[in-house]
Order: sequence, then C-alpha cells, then structure tokens
Amino acid sequence: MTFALARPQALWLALAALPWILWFSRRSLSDLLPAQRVLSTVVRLLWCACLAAALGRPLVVRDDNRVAAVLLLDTSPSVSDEQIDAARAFVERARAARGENDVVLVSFAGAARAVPLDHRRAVPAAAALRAAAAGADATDIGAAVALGRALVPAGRIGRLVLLSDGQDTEGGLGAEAQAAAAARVRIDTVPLVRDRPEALVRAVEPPPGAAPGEPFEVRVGLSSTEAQHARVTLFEDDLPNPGDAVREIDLGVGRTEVRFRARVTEPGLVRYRARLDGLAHDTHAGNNQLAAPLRVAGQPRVLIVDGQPAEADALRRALCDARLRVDLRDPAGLPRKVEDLDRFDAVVLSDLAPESLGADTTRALSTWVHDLGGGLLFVAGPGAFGQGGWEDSGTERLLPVRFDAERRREDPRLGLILVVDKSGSMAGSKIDLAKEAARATADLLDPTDLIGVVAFDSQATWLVSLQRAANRTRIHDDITRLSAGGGTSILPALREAHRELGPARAKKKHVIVLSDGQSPEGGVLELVQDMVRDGITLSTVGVGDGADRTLLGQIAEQGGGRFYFTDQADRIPRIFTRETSEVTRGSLSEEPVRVHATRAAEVLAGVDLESAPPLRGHAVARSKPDAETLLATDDGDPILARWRVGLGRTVAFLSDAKARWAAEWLRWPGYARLWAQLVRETIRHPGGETFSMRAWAQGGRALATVDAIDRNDRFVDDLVGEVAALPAERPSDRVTAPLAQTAPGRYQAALRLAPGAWFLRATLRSGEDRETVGEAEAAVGLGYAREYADLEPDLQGLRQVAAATGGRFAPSPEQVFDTGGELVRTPKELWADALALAIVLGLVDVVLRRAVPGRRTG
Amino acid sequence: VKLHGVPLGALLAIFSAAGAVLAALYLLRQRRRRVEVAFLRLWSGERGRRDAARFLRRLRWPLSLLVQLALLALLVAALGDPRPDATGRHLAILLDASASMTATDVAPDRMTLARDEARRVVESMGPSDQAMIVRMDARPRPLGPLSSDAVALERLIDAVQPSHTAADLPRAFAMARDALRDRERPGVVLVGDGAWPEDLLARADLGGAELRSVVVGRSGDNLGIVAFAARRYPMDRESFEALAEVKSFLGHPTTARLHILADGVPLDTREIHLGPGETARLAFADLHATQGRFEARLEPAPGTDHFALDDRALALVGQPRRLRTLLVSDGNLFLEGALLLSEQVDLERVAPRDYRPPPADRWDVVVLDRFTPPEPPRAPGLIYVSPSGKGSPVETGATVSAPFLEGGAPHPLLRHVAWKDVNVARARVLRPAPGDATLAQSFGDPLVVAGTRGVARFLAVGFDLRQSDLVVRVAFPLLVRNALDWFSGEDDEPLLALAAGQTAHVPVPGGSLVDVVAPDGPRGRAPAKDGSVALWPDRVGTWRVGPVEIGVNLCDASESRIAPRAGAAAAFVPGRAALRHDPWVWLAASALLIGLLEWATFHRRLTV
Repeated sequence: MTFALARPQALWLALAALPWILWFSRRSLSDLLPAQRVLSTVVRLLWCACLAAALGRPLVVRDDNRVAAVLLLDTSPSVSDEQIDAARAFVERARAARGENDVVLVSFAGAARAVPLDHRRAVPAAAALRAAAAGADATDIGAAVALGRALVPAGRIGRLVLLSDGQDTEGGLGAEAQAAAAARVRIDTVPLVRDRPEALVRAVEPPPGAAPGEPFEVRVGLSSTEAQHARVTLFEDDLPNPGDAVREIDLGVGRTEVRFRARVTEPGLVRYRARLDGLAHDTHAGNNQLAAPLRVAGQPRVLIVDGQPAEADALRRALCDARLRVDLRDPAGLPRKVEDLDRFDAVVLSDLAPESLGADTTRALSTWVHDLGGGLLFVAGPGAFGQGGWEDSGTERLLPVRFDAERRREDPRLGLILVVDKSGSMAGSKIDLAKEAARATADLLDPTDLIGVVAFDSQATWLVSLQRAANRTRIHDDITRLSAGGGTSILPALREAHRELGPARAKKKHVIVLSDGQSPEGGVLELVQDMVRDGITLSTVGVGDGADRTLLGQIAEQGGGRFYFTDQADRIPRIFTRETSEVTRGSLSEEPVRVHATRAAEVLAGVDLESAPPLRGHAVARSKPDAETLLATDDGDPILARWRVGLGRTVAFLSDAKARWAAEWLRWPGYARLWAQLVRETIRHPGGETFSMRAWAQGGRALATVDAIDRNDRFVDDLVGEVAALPAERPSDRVTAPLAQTAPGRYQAALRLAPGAWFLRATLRSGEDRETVGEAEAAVGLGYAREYADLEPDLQGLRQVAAATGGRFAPSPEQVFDTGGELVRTPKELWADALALAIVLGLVDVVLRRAVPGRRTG
Repeated sequence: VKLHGVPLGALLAIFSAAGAVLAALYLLRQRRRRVEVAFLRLWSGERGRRDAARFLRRLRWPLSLLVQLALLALLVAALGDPRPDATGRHLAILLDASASMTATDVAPDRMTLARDEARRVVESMGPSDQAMIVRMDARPRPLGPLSSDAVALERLIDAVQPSHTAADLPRAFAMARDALRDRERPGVVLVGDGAWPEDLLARADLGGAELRSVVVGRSGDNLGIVAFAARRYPMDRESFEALAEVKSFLGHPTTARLHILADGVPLDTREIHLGPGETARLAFADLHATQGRFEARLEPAPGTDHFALDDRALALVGQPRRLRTLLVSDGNLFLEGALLLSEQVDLERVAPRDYRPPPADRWDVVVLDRFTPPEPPRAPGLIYVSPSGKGSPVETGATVSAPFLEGGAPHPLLRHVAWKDVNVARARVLRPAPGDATLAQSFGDPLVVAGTRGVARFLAVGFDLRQSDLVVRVAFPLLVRNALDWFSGEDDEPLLALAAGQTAHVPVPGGSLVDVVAPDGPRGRAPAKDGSVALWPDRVGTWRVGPVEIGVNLCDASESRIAPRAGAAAAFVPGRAALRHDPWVWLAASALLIGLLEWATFHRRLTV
C-alpha cells in the first residue's frame, strides 16, 4: 500500500496556518489552563492538517482482485444468428457469475461499438447486436480488442473475452494482441464454430501470361463445408470458355481444384470468370464466382482506316512485310468503342475526311491513346484536307501538329487584289453584282489577309487600297463607290496591282481580274510574267459575250490561276467566292516538295532521305511546342511530327502514303522501311525498358510494386510515374495512382478498386525531362469481400491469441473471472476520510475548551 | 445539486449528532475563574464598564455556537461531495502522443508541455463537466471512459508517453465522435504541436462537437531522413545499393552530413546542401556488408534540428538462402560457371555414371546436363539441359536445325533475358503440358519450357548448351539466376526495414508463438499465422521477431514536419481554473478559513 497526494501544494495551507495558530495560542486571553491550551492547540493543528490534507487529495494505492471482463462479440456476416445466440448465452452466464466483478459487452464486425448492458434485462437479441456494430462485409477484431482495452475501468483487472470465429479480415488482431500482452491484459478466446453450409470459388488462376494459340490451364479453386454436387462454369470474357466451359463435379469437404483447358487466339486482355452453380448446401451466393485477368501477348495488330481503302494497299503491304498484322478498313469500319480499339496496337487514319470521325470515335481514340497506350498515326491527303475542318477538332488535340497554322500567323496569309472592270458596259446589274462579289470576297478573307480593289476603265483607280481585311466596314463603303463609265484597259490596273502586291508581306499573292470587254493586249502578258516571277498568281473572270476570252484565258494560264467565264452576271459573286476559297486553301499545298530530316532519330535509321523523291503535296500545319518534328519541307513546313499523349504516342505525317501525293514515294525503296519503322515505333509497347511489376489484392485494394532494374543490373532511381488500373470489361473506366519510390529501383502504389479483373499498366518517367524510361504490366483480380472467403473458424489463431496474452482458450463463463492470483493496484481517494477526521477533531477541540473537569461551576 | 459522496440521510445524521454534542457543550455554564485581588474598590469601576457591555457578552455565547455549527455544517456538506445537477460539458481531450511530440524546440520537450496543457484543460472543467483522454498516435486509444474526476483524468494524462508513430487524426476524431454521440455540449480539445494537416481539421466530422486546440511548440526547424532502404543487386548478390532521402524543413539553406554505416562500420559520408524545404535523394551504390545491416546517420548543422528521431534510419537486408545444388554432368564449364556466379549456391558435381537418386531434402536444386534419369530427383528445383526419354518432365519432339529463338509469354525466369540473336545449331522441340510456360520458341515450336511437377519446379532447355552460343551471352547467367531464385521462392527479397506505426507481416520460419523484442525491451509473444507475424512497431530502432531482425524507422515526411501550426483550429481558452474546483473543495477551504478565524477570536476572547 502506498500513499500519495494529487495536489501536494495544498499542504502549504497547513504550513501557513501553523504560525497563526501558535501565535494566537501564545497570546491567548482565554482562561484555559496552560495544559488545556497546549492540548487544544495541538488538536487545532491536527484539524488544520486534516483539512489541508483533504484539499491535497490524498490517495492510497492498494491491491485489488476485481475483474472487468469485456466480452467482444463477433457479429460479422460470417457468424450466424445461432452462433450469436450461443454467445449471448455465454454472456448471460458470465453476468450471472460476475459477483463483484464488472461485465462490459462490445459488438463488432467491420467496426466495434460498446453495447450498454442493463443487468435487469436480457442481453440484446442478435439483430440488435448486429445493428450495434457497423461495417458489414468485414471483421476487424483488432479494433474490437482496442476498444475493449479502453473500456476496462481503472482499478480493475482487465480481461477481454473474444467470442468469434477468428476470421480477422483486417489483419489487426496480431498487433493488438501484442499490445494487449504488453499492457498485461489477457485475452480469453471462445470459438464460434460455423454451423451453416458454405461453398465458394476460392481462386481463379490463369498463368501469368500466354501467347496466342498456346494451350494453357486455368485453375479454379473451390471450397465447401459439405460434400455435394456442383457445376462449375468458366467464362472467357462473359462467354463460355471455348472447348472446356462446364464441369459437373462432386465437391468434397474442404478444398477442390478444377483445371480447365484454355486457349486464346487473339492477343489482348482476357477475363476468366468461374461460377459455381447447382449447390444444395450454400449460404452466401456472393462468393460463388470470381474473376481473374490474363494478358495475351502477340504480334502487333495495326488498323488502317482509309477514305479509299483500295488506294492504301501499298501501305498495308509495307506493314505486312514488317510482320505486323494489318486490318484495312474504310471509315465505316473505324471502331467507336475503346474496347474495340483496344484490340489493336496502332491505328492509322489515312486520308480521312474529318466528318468520318464522329464524336464517339474521337473520344474513344483519345481514351485509347491516352489511357491504354495505343499508337495513332494520322496521315494527311487531299481527301482529308480538301474541305479543311481539322482545326480545333478532338483529333487535332491528340496530334503533334496544329492545322490552324496560317490563321494564327501574324503575317498575312493571302494578299488579294480584285481588278474590276468599271467601263460603261458594266453599267446596270453587272456593276452591282461586281460590288456584291467584291464585298463577299472581302468577307471570306481572314482578318489578317490583305485585300485591295482596283477599278479600271481606261485608267486605274484604287477603290480600296491594299489593307487588312479586318477593316470590313470601310472596305464595304469604299466598294460602294464603284460606278460604271469609261473605256476598258487592263494594263494600268494590273500595273497598280503589281506595284502594291509585289512588295507586300503575304505568303500567297493573288489577283482576280473581272472584265466584260475588250482590252488592248499590249504589255499585259509581259506584265503577267513579271508578276508571276514576284510570286503573284492571277485568275480572270469574263462576263458576257463581249469579254475578251482569249486575253483573259492567257492571263489566267500564264498567271497560274483559273479562268472563269459566265454570261450570267448573277453568277459573278459565286465565281468570286469560289475563287477566293480556292486561293485560301492554305492548309493544303499541292506543290512538289522535298523533305529532309530535321534531327537524327532511330525511327529514320536506314532510311535514305537523300534519295527520296519529292512529295506532290502536303497539308500545311505547324508542330505543337512539345512535339518533335522529324521531317520537314525545305520551306520549313513539318511533314512528320510525333509526341506522347498520356501512355500512348501519336504521329502526324502531313503528306499521304499512296499514289496521290506520295506517288513517287511508292517506288522509292525507303518507303516501306520508313512506314514499317514509323508504325513499329508508334504501336503500343513499353516505352524504354520493360520493368517487372507484381500486383496483389489486399482488402479492397490492389498493391503494385514495380522493380526498375536496367540491363546492367543497376537500380533505376529518381523516376516518377503512375499505375493505371483498367477493368478488363471496360478499359475506359480507369483508376490511377502515383508510384512512389520506396527503395533502390523499387516503386510502389496502392489503388482502391472494385471487385473484378483489373489490368495494371505502370509508366515510369525520368524526373528531369519526363521522358518515359520504362513501363510494366501486370494483372490482378479482386474478389468478393474477405469476410466471405474463409469457411472454417481460425481455431489456431484464436488459440495463439489466448496463448500470446496469457489467456484461456474456450473458457467457461465462470473462468472468465478467475484472476489466477493476479492483482491490480487501485488508487483510492482519502479526502473524505480526512474531512471526517477533521469533524471529529473539531468536536474534540470544543470538548477540550468547554468540558474539561475542574473548570465548571457546579 | 446532487450528492456524489455520503448520502443525504447520513449527512443529516452526522450533523444532528455532532450538532447536538456542540449544543450540549455550549449549554453547559462555564465556571468563572477565581482571581484574588488586593483592593476591591479598584475593580468597581471596571465592573461598571463590564456591566455596560453585558449585552455584547450575552451575544458571544450564541455566536460562538453558531460559528461552531457553521464549521460543522461546512465539513459535513463537503463530505456529501455535492455538485450542481446542471448539464455539463462533455469533452474528448485528444492528447497528441505522436513522434513529433519528442521535439525539443521547447524545454524540456513538447510532450511535457502538452501534458501540462491537458492538465490545465482538466483543471478548467466545471463540477458537472466530464472528459475522456484519448492518446493520439497511429493507433488512437481512449485511456478511460468519460469522467468528471479531475484527479483521475490527470493521472491518465501523466501516464501518456510519446510513441514514434504519426498521429492518426481521422481515427482519433472518429473515436471522439463516437464517444460524444448523444452527449450534451460535446467538445473536442486537441492538445499537441499542431503539426496536423489543415485539410483534415477542416474536413473533420465531429458530429456537431466543437473543436478547440491547444498548441505547444515553437519552431519547426528540422532536418530528417524521410526515406532509407537498401537492396542487393539482382545479379551481384554481394553488393548492395542504399537510397536515402533527406529533407530540410528549414526556412533557410543549410548544410548537413549523412553518414552511411554497414555492419556498424562507417562506409561513406556525403555533405548535403539543402535549400529551404528541399529534399535530397542520395544513392549509395556498390556497398558491401557481410550482415546486410545498413544505417544512415544525419549530422545536421548545430542549432538546425529540434527533432532527433528522424536523424537515424536502419535498413537490414536478409541473407539469401543457400541452395545445395547438385550438377550431374560430364563436364560443362559454362553451366558450372553460371551456377557458381551465384554466391548462394553450394555446388557439388557428379558424373552421370556416378549418379544415384538422392534422398528427399538432400538437394535444393539438381541440374541435369544431357542426362535424364528415369525418375526425377526429389528436389524442389530441377534444371534439365537437353532432356530425353521417359524421365523428361516434358515430352520431346522433332529436332529442328538453326532455330530462330523468340521469347514466350512473360515469366519470372525471363526477367532481363533476351533471346535475340542467340544461335543454336540444333534443338529438340519440347511439348509442354498444360500449365507449363514456354520461355523460348522457334516459329511456334517450344524450345525452353518451365513448369511445376508436384511440388518441384523445373526448367527444361531443349538443346545442348555446347551447340549454342547462349552460354557466352549475358542471357544465360541471367536465366540460371532467375531459375535459382524461382526455385527458392526468392524472386523478391524482403526489405527488412519498416516504418513505425505501420502494420507489417513479418515472415518467420516455424513456430506458432514468436517472441517480439522492441528496442525498449521485450513485448511478449506474438501469434504467427500463415508463416508470418503481424507486427505493429511503435518505436524506431531494431526489432526482433523470433529470429528475424527488422529495422524500424520514422521515415515519415509528414511527421518530420514538426512546425507547430497555431490557428489550425480555434484555441481552447481554459477559463479561470480556480473557480471551477469541486464544491467540496470550496466548502472545506471555507471551513479551514473560518476555523482559523474562530481560533483567533477565541483566544482574543471575542468568542467562547
């Protein structure tokens, strides 16, 4: 027994009172006898000491042998109501036998809760106990033990009694048992033995990988508590496994393994699912099926989609010769779903009109490239760019090039001068239609383009000086001033146009001449030649029979433009807009160009570009800032560019691969090699090294570990990356988690995933330049909750917990309170005792003062 | 008012009895003291004055009795331990016991100050208030039920010691929420260094309880090892690489030194220059240690580190299992060399003619070079080179000349193995059974196969190694190494370094109950399940689980970030603690005061 004071500072009060009491005692005026006074003083000092001691909260720590038994009752789904009733009976008996001991009840499943016990009433029924606990589909015995320890009141011997089947799905029991043992809290364990039949699919195990056509086995592990007949069905991607799908078997008690023969002909991700049916004795249906994924590697598959499939045969043959499996389809055959796209490793969009790709297709392509690592090659062509329309499209966002190159350029793309005949013969509707045509032309142009209007009769007059088409209102107003009158002479007007347009900064310079009459020819064609030399092209429009078709035709021919003739004046505006559309087709150039490599790249290795013939045309675009331009024209227009998009790669080849723009290339020996290397480099394959990844399920999570080890046996450190988990049935519904380095060359991630078969793809990039250093793949299957996975109570585990904490296995309710000589040190407060003593001392003091014999008168 | 001590009836009885005694004592008349005087006339004037004060003298007697009764009443009332019956507050005091509480930026350390603050909170409780103390580390634990007994609560607070784990704030909040559910005026008081994620505080669901905080700590200056691990190289098993991450939590650039020790011997020291908040990752390549015990020690510049727990980290790499290997061959130096490259192999050689079927458990691996016994040797790992006949684990088919080797499906044996450009003169086609894996094939014909027969794993190579240049390529020792790892089940070595506060399953050979020894002493015995023990290390240092040693490190950047953050939650205002003591204390103190005054008045004859 030991004594202590919780607030020893209160003793100062007694010390402070001492001089006070002594001083008044010595200076006393009372008529107490000296001995009486001394005695009274001593008693009063004791009285003060008692009160000061009471205020100091004295404690006495004594040994006690009373037990607080916390009964931890497992109410998880793996425990039946009958088992809970048996446990309730145990609790009742323990309560009856408790004597001076305490009994506390805790109900637990995925979480633990204390259940208030009214000792006048029966223990709550199974349903109420289940409701008291929380977190179905799990058993967290560790949490129950932790709560139980907290519920042991001070001054009691703590005793936890675990009534459970021992199936601890959260894995915390071992550690909590350790902590309980360290705190000298014993855990008695009472096994709740299963009394319900159960059969389940324990495991589905395809091999770690397979090759197309290679036979292999899928092992299906089954467990049952009863000997019974059952049917096991194996599904491959929701269809019965070809050749070996259904087995009628007799399940024994315990574990049974069934092996199915399987073979996959196509590469890709396959999901195997085993289902158990026809059971006579079973409780939970949720554990009767389980799935696992299998990745089947094979020859890369490439899909070519071409507007004119017949024209893409050369490309198809080049790729086939490179040992690639090629599907050639028309635009209608382009998959619209990610799942369908995922059967291919690369898709080549060749000379496709933008309208061929619907929104669904574009979205699917984006997901496939970004999340699934697909390779996309965009090959231009006249069909693809005849009408434009790729600008700002979803497809353009995937590509390494931007098609609005010209539009966004600061310099004007086009310098256009309309040379309009305003001679007297144009009077009337013709001049009005010419004005309308001029205004429409101005409206068609991009604001950065340049436009000028020169009217001519025998003289040239600037109606609209050469200026940016952005000034539309002013240009319209100026065009309105056009009026007919005078003769017809083209030459002065062409000179003016040449003078203004020659030095203008525009990529394309064009003149449209409109005339309805005869003009002197002298010097016109020579001037046209000069203009052509200055990069100016000319088109001409003749209106009415009076027009000088010969001259206008020659001007157009020599001027590199087009000659239009109409005898219907109302067609003038349409001709102007068409002509303007023709010349504004800046996204496409059909001039022969030679290409050269802008940088050394492995994909161009062995391709003799020096010997490459010119391409007859190309689409004009510009590379995006992060893209890598590999080939370009001598003018600097990119022809081949590439970049990474998420896990995948995209490539833009801005000429075509068939007998239109690349007609000479088809006969060029480098053609097949270039395309084979280009597609092989772009197809879905691990970037950089192929690292090994292990993945396993733990609870509702998949844990993934990637080992980055290079070929020189060195660990690859300082990488960043992530793991993407893709469900086998819907690859578009991906879940990602970052990879964190945990050791030399080791990166780990945890993903919370829904039950099912998941394919995991890890990408590791350099921390500095973000280049992909390596990739890794694995598959993992997450089954039903672990709560339903074990059939038998973990008796060994329960025994071990009891042994580790010094408790009993399967004790009787009475044994729960057996202390085995154990004592607990209990603090007891003594302040009330001190107060009681002070009361007594107070009375004694009064007695001493007033009732001492000899002092009273009779 | 409700009585928590002696019941009212008993109090009344005590008061009645003691009061009656007092009254009786005061009802007795006191005899006057006889004093002889020399001349009576001298006292007559005095007597006249005393007669004038007769009224006051008459009051002295009842007043004295009243004082005594008042004293008695106060003490008897105190015995009843009365408390107001009003609804009090219900507080959950979450006392931070995480690793950062060992920081010494305040004297003597944060934990001591936090305990003082928690006691202050308890002292500020009113008589009808109740509180529970929750010790908050990686496994928050209520130390007792809700109680209004301040002294008992303070005893619990005094017993709290910091662990070496991070605080699991969400779990502590959940615990507090559960404990305070349906309680009147619930409140949560967080006492600690405030190094808690602000978003957690913002998102805290406390079921309507008011959150207050008391923050201790002054400085966040710290440099810490936030990650440390070591691994063997996959091929060169005698060499290791260690990786350490050191992070600065200072607001200014600093310099530190990191020492690496192997088996207790200093191996390397690096000077690290770190900017504010910077992390340095350092790789120490080609380290050698017989026992595979590595330690990183950080030596910060003086005055820059208030937290010592993260200045040391351990990485213990287990020893690879030795493989007793029998090579049955007429002589194949390439094969022998590849086997001997592995330090874990204890190799014995025997010629085919001298081969006798070994007993079970004699060998871990048997390598059969161009020799196939009729019965497969009883060993967990078998390598067949050019197998033939009935004893072959796979059927053999036709012979192909100059096959074109291609890899098969992914398999642990193919890690880093490239078949590209491997030349083979002739090979026998193998016919794998379902479940076997084809590791190399030529135009669909399997040439190298791996699989399992019973409990034994095997690797079968369908060609004579001497008729191939495989043996001179790097792929060959890699294949052999991978096969040995696969046979021994050690294709992934355990990393025997854990983070404090995280449950880990430590594989232990044999035994159902295993002794656990923490750095601060034995922790009893832990049950082993499925060959492993669930360990929850709450202290950094070397732990021993049965025969297995494990290094436990803090290695938690969030816990190394020790900067206190006042203002993360509203501050707790203790109030005037002295006014909130239990009523009996006031009653007893009043009685003491009155008793002392009465003593003075009695001896000055103001009372009797």
